[in-house]
Amino acid sequence: MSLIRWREPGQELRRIRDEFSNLMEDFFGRPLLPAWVGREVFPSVDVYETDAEFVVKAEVPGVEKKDIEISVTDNDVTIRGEIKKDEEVKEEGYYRRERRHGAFSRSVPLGGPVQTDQAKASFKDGVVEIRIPKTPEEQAKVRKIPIE
Amino acid sequence: MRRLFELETKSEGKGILSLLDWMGGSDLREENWVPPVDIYESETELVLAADLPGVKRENVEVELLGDVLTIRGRKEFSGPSPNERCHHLECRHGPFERSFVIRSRIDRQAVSASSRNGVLRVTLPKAGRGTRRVTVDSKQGQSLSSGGEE
Repeated sequence: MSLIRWREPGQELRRIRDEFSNLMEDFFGRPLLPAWVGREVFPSVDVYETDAEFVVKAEVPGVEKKDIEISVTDNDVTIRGEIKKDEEVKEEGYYRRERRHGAFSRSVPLGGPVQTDQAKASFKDGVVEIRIPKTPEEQAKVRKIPIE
Repeated sequence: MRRLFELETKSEGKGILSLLDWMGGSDLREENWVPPVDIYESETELVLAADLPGVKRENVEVELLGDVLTIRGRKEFSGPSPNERCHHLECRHGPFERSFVIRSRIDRQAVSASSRNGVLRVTLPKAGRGTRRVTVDSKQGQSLSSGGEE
């Protein structure tokens, strides 16, 4: 088997975009394009918090439930997994290849102390949802201030 | 890699306008997005696989019109509500649409679609050379069913 590095369609465009982005960052002092453009970071995540818990949603299309591993520490959540190809397709059989395959890992920082043993995760339609309750002390910190 | 035409859909090609959207950083607003797809061909079929994580099955439409295969649909926003504090918002939501010109001769009646783990798969069996027509006479049918009972 000959090993030829796969060149993604649009790779050149991404390179141009990255250079443009760097240029703009130098000029404006902040990134012009948000992180999801081009999808170098995988999986995409939404992270938000309610008064009681942190919520992490990660898009992992094509991964089997058994191939996902989630670990929670006091500071962050790590999602690991592998997207396996459904069948062996010859390289020349592809017209288009944009989807992500193979192993992935991403750690997401949480905004405060959590009860790691109370973390719950669910998986549906290629989306992992992890809910981790804040520590009682952290929950008590939230104070709503009424406007008079 | 072989070549395959993708039709530009009306949702794309906003050019400088979408760049201005990015500058504004309007993360919460709904906008068109482009799901990544694989398209591959084997001896017997052509397969399109599209990443549609979090898209409900009833919100996806697959259409074969002439030799143009279109997938379209909408992903609903499932992120934080306004009173929840946001840290990252990377997941796309909103409408999507992609169309491809299928040059291979396919068995139109046998086209099927399925979805699993956030991936839509459209299978287009090839017509002609790859297809074998098999006629089963009653004798063979009987022997098959008796074999199944064992």
